[in-house]
Amino acid sequence: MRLIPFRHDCSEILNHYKTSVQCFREALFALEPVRIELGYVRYLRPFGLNLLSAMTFELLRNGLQVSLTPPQDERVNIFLADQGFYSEFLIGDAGRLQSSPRSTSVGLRRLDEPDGNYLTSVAHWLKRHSDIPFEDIEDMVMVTMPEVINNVFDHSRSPFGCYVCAVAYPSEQRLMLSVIDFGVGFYTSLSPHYRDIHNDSDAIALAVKPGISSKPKKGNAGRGLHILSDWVKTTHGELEIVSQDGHWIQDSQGVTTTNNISFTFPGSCINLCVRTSHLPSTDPTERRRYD
Amino acid sequence: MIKLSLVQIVGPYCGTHTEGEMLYRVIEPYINCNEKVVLDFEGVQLASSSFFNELFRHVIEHFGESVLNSQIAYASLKPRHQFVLDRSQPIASAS
Repeated sequence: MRLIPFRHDCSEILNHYKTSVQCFREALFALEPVRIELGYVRYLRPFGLNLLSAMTFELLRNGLQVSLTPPQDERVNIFLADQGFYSEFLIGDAGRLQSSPRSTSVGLRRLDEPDGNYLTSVAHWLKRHSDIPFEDIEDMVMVTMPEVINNVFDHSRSPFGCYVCAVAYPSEQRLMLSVIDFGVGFYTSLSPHYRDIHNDSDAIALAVKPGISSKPKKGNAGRGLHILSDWVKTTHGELEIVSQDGHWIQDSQGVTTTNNISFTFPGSCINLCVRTSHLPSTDPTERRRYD
Repeated sequence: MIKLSLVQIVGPYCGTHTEGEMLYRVIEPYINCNEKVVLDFEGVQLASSSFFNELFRHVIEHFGESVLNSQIAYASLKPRHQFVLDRSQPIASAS
C-alpha cells in the first residue's frame, strides 16, 4: 500500500505539496494500492482541490486501486463533498456525504474540451453570490477562461484535459480560480522552437509574451497567455503559473518574478486571484484607464 | 457590403480554432469578390484569441494581410471582444 499524504494546510503555497507530489509520482509506477491521506487537512483552497482531483484521476486512469482517508475536520470533508469531489470519484465518504453546491463556489469540473456553456454557468454563479456588476464578472470569465483552457488543449497534451475549480472569499474580497493539467509542461512544448530557453521558468516567462507558441508557424498564434496576463493586470489581480519546476508570478502591480520550485510538478497549473473590489467598470471610457 | 451575424454562423461561443475556420469558410466567397464583410458580434458571448487567430491566418494566407483592414469590419463588439481583438492582430500591424 502506497500513501499519498496531504498536509494540514492545502492552500496555494506550492511547497506544501512537495511530499504529496513525490509520493504520487512513486505510487504511479509502483503498481500497488494507493491510499490518499487527507486526515489532517484543515484548510483546502482551489489549487489544493484541483491537485488532489488530478492526482486521483490519474491514479485511477492508470488502473490503480485508490482509497482515501477523509479529513477529520468535518467542515473540510463537507467542502469536498459540496465541491463534487466525492461524486466525481466515488471514494472516501462518497456514500455518506451528498454534494450540495455552494453559492460561493463553482463545483469541481474536469473539462475534456473547451465548453462555452460551462463558462456561462461560471459567470452566472459568480453573479449570484457577488456584488460585482454582472458585465464585469462576465468579462472576466469570458476573457480569461477561454485563453487558459485553449492553452491546455492546444499545447499541453494533458491525458485528461484539465480540472477547473473556483471559490469566492467574500470576507477577503477575492475570487480564486485554478486550472490544472498533467501535460508536458511549457519547456517541453516550447523548446523545439525557441533555442534560448533552458528551463520551465524561462519557458513560462517567454510564453506570456505575444506571439510565442508551440505552433509558431501557425499564423498569428501565441496570444492567449499574453491576453490573460494583460487582463489580470488591468484588474489588479494576481496570476501564478507553475510548470514542472518552473514558477512565474505576476503580482497585483503587474510586476513579474520567476523562480524554480524545489520539486517537479506533474504538469502545469494556472492560478488566478481577482480582487473583487478592483474590477473595473464596464463603461468603455472608464475602462480605458485600465487598458 | 454584407453584414454577417456570427451567432447565426457559429453560435454565441467563438472560442476555438474550429469556429474561426467555420467563419472563414463563410466569408471567403465575399472577400474573393472584393466585397466588404461586416462581422456582427451581437449576441456573441465570448471571442478568444484562438478564434481570431484561425480567422486571420486563413485570410492572410489566401488574400494577404491588408485585407484584414480593407475588407473586414466589426459591429456590436463588446469591450471584452475588442480587448481580445486588439491583442490578436498580426504583430506587424498591431499598434
